[in-house]
Amino acid sequence: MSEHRGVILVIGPALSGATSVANALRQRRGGCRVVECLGPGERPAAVVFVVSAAAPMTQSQIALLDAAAASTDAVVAAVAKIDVHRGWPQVLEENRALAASPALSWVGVAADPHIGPSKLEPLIAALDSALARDRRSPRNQLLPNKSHAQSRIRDRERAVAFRELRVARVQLTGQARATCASMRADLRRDAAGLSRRGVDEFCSGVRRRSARAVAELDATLSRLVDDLDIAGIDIPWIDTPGIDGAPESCPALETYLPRFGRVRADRVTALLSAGFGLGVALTFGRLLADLAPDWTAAITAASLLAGIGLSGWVIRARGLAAERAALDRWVTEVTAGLRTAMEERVVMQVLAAETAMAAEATAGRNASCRIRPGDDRP
Amino acid sequence: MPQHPHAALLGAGAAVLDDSALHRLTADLGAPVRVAVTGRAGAGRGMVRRALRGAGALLADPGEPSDVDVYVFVETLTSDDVALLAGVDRPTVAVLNKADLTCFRGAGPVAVAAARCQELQRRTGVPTRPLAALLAVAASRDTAGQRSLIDALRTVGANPARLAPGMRHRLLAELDLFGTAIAAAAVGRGADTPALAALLHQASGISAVLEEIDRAAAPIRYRRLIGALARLADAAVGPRGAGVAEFLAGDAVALARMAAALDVVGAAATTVDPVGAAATTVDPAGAAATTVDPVGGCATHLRRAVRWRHYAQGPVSALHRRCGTDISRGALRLWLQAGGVVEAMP
Repeated sequence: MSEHRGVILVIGPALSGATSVANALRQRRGGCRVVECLGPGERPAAVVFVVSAAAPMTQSQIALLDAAAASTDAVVAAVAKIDVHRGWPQVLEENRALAASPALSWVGVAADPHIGPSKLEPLIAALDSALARDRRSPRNQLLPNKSHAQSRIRDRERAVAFRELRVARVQLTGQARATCASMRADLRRDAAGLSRRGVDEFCSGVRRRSARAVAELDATLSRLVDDLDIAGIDIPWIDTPGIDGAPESCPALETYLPRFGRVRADRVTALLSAGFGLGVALTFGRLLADLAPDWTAAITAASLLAGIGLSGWVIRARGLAAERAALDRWVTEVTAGLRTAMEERVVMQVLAAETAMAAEATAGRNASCRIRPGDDRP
Repeated sequence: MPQHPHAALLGAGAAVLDDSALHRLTADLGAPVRVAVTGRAGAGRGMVRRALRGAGALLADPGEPSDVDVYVFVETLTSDDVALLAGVDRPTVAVLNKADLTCFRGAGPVAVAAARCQELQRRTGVPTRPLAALLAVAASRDTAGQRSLIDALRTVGANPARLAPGMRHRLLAELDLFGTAIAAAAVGRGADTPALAALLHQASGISAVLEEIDRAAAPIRYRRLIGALARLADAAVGPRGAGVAEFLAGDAVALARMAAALDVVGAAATTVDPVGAAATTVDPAGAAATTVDPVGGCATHLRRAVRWRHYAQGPVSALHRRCGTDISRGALRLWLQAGGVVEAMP
């Protein structure tokens, strides 16, 4: 605090005589810098609060005194213009009773007297003793300004944290949406070119990717919570049931895939494929039999075989196409469910954080209210 | 005011109204304006109350509703005072008390206080006047008290050192520094008891405060007049009703309403701007427009009636609309009296 020694702030309501007191102090105490208005970041070594002796303080003036006393450690309150207001001792006593701190020293001054000599000595003596007391124990014993300042800092931090939370919520929701959208596009492309053998692997791949997306989201969320923890707010981790493991969020594949649902052979497909194979066999058999009448028996047998083979191929191809379409639907459903789950997770976590912060703010305010009256006395 | 402000109205009413109705009308119109004193603690509200009572104002008892509030403050209006003044719902006059202690340099305390009041009035819109309540109370003191005071003041002028301590305290308590100074100077010049009382009365600024209270009470007087006339309308339907109806439609009532309405709009104009708005915004016919002036020319009355008719149709409050209509009607009566002739539209 040594760099601030010497700055004395003289403050008071309009027409209270603060300027006269400041001028008189400037003349009497050459070593100190006496100001009526602090520069940015400046902290006074002492504050002289000036109020007129015309009448006791009003509420706004008491608030000004409180504000002045909160910013420094040594405060002297002066009742000015005692040369013309004969009732100043009563006013002084009433002011002393009105002020929040009974330890505050009150003096009467006539800094720029219209009648009689100036009277400044009590103020200077009180100022010296306040400065000396402040040097001896550099802690404000008049007002709980430390906790006041701290609570103000905490308020500011809390406001910043609230804003960060809101931003994080928007960002994380957007991120979840984008992840799900890209995942769906990828998986649908894969599903469109899937072979029969790849279905199982594809299904487990979908589950793996969902789990990874959820894990990434969890990591981001826990980083956010850690950041808030650093700011002094204790936030519980909410375990949203049902979405820890992504597979639970996937709808059962069986509902979409006929193969896994104890395949009922699609009779129509079989019938049509058989008809197609028979038709092909008859047509080719007829044609070849006409061209080479000698080989009729062999040609008939070969055509029948080819027809049967063709029927089998059509049935298989038809089945694969149906399976791909089902997988496509399934992938859409899975990503939609994942998106909902992720968004819910973000919202729940942010809500938990906000609740914790609000609870902490309320507790802090109650605590500071409790502190105030007790801390007044040195 | 030398006589009852509604003497003409009452004179006209005496011819047609029965005794009880006339009595009630007189009581309604003559009812004094009750003043309540509020303000900042320690600003001397009690002394202001005594000063107003001494100067003839009727103070509302505690708990009694008041017509006009006097808000007492000292030095300048703090933010608490401004907030309170912004929230008042009654006509209010702000009074800068302890004006005799404002400043002992330059033009003197009362002049400095008056300039400050003008600035505060400009800022708040509430009529604000300086007052040295102590001097006003001293001015309203009885003769015996004044005489012993004059003896003490002579001693102050001749040889202050010989003044007894008890007397010095009394002088300070009753006149304070400024009052003692001007009173001692006046007594040194040979002033007697009435001259001293007049000097203190003049220095205290109490008459300006009373004028301002009177001006602030103009809407109340106007409403009282309207209310009293409305109650008379009940009597206009009885067996003797024709005379009352004629009285209510007559010139005396129209001119009384016009006078009360002019007080209201004049007070509003001076509240907004004490210097010149009265003449520029609401008054096209010169200074005579804010008084009922029956000797104006025929054309002046007609112009005035048209002007106030327009005023009443403009963007003004309901009270001012009624006032404008009343002034216009009164001006038309004056125009008829001055020889105006009603012509049919061509």
